[in-house]
Amino acid sequence: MFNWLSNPNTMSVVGIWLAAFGTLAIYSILYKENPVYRMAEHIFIGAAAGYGVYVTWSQILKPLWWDKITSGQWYWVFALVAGSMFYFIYSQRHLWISRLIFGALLGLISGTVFKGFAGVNMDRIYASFKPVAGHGMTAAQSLNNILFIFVLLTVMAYFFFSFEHKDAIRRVPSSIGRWVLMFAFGAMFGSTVMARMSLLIGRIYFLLHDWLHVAH
Amino acid sequence: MRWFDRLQHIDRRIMYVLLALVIAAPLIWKLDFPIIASPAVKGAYNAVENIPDGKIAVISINWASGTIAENGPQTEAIIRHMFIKDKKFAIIAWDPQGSKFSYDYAERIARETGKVYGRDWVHWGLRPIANIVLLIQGFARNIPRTIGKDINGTPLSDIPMMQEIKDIKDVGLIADITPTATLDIWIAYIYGQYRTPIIYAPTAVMAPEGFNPLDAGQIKGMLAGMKGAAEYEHLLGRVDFATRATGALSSSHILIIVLIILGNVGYLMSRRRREEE
Amino acid sequence: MNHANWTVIAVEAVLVFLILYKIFSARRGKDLFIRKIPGLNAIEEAVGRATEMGRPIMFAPGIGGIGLDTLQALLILKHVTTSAAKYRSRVIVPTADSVVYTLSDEISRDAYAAEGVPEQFNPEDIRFLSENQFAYASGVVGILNREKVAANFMFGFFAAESLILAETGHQVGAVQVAGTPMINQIPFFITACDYTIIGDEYYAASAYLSREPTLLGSLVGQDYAKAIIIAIIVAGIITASIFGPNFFWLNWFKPM
Repeated sequence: MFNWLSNPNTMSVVGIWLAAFGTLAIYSILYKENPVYRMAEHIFIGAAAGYGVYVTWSQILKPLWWDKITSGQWYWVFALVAGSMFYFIYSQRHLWISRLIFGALLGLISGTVFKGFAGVNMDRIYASFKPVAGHGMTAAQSLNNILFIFVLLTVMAYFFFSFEHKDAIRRVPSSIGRWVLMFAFGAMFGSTVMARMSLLIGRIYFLLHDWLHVAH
Repeated sequence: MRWFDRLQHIDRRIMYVLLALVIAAPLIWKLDFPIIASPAVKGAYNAVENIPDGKIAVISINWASGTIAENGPQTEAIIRHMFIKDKKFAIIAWDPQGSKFSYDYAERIARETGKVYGRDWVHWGLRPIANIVLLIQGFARNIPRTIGKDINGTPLSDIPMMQEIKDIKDVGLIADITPTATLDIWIAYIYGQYRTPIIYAPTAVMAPEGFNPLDAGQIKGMLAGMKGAAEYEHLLGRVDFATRATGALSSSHILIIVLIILGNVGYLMSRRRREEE
Repeated sequence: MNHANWTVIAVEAVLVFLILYKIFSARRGKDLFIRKIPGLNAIEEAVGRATEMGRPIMFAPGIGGIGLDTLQALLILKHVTTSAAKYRSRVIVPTADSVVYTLSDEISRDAYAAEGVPEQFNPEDIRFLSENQFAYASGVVGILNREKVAANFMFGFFAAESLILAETGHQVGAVQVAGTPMINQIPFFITACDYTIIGDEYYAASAYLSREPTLLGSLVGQDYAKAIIIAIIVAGIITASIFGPNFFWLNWFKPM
């Protein structure tokens, strides 16, 4: 009686209708808060939670941990001991146990951050040693470098916190830095508009192409 | 309410409907805009072309359905390019949905281009994003030991294309396709230490994060969002989703620019009127 | 594998020394100055407004797990809940991480108890929504709309969901104060919020509010570190301009 349910074509059509309903239900909040949105919201959160549990077990814990234990690498059991220590954060009396593992983790992270700092920043510090003129540079390159240096130094000046930006020497570069930041944020916002439009286009294309079959 | 006051108070629902219309129209009635590949996209394209023989590329997938409209076409274009140019690659996923999408994309394009799983490409499966820093450091030193098995549970030692791949020296390119801040991790622990070339395919929101590394030479190129994917498709000579969507992208931008101008005209007029009064 | 060269080691050692030195001075009781961060005063103002309107406050600590950014957000949460508890206002805290959820619960409970109104604390106001970024966002959007939130604080690690949250907060008419070290998200907060704390100001904000010696010391230490990096860059620019970009000492900074 329910053979049609296992037919991949039927499931694909049902899937597309469900996805279309979900998309429209979530967008319905653009009109106003309503029960359809609320239902979609709760389904979304519930599905994400359920899917998260399934994936954590099937794609992470099982292949990377459980299968290793059952195939003879018994020492992976200790990962459970270390992992369980985090849960003592819920106990006032045994909080110290969670601190041990948090401490170890933070130490580990700090170590890698040191390594990362050099990996990311030294190249950038080196790249900022830009000549302002000469050395075979064109006027445009020279202007580019001057602009780069100006922006770099004024923005860095804005992020000093341990003194009041009172006199002109300290105040002017810092306020220019703030203005320059605002320019950058404006450009970044433009980039975001593009991102948001792309995501919207993706959904509208899905509705028009996969659901209604009217897009080319 | 005077006309210029009205310009500042256009009901947002009207704007949403307008937006839906200007996006839908070019998708229904084909509307093409010229596409010119930027130097950043050309850089990424050339980096793929220049992967040395005997080395593989690693495609890092960290996106899910939420950003499929941007990261999906980027993934598809990069995979297609690698297949066309006979560049072998491995996919590593940090998001469960991305893992499935990337597998499906690669499988479909492999069928189209006559490529074979295990010989031309491999999927290393999903890894927890929380471990990315430790994992990529381990993988740089010893790939078979760190990765172990592919997505289907096959040991890497049984996969033909992985026979000679031992560590980061056998990797000729990293492609980071992501909606979040993973680029600095690849730069810090892979480029910073081993100088393995990286290309970056972020959502447009994250694209500004790529300009500094691009300037410092830490990445070879970048595909900024759907537009970057369309430029890449253009270099491949293809018309896929990103190219078809450029008309809608441009028309939506035009609408937003018009709305910004109207809002500002309204604001300036009202201010002038207030000053006069 | 390539190891760090001596320049990298020397630069990191100097930076670490400066930061540790300032942390220890702060701990020994030395009074360290931090300039006023614009936007922080707005926290009190927003809490006051929510109280007047008899509507709740929301504090979203971002989607990050327990890390530096989130810990700083929780310090600010402590400040916000303490202010709210003074006025007997509700603070709803939607979380995306189980540990952050537990810590938020504890912080809020303590804040109400410290102000002598433990009965005002409602455990249901601290909510775990989802670890999934957009599921979390849709949950927060729902709460903002249903609860008619009057003041919305967003501090912590935010990604693409930031504009969705800030835009909705703006639509429901909430006074919004936001801060995140994620520089890409700042433009959205600037556009949709009343007050935004930019970049490194975020770390300064938690030090400013908590007056925690370790935070104060590290912030002042970082200022010294920044000054040294500026000095290196300026010296590098001058050298590169006079002697060319391949002058010998500039290459010390070339990691490989």
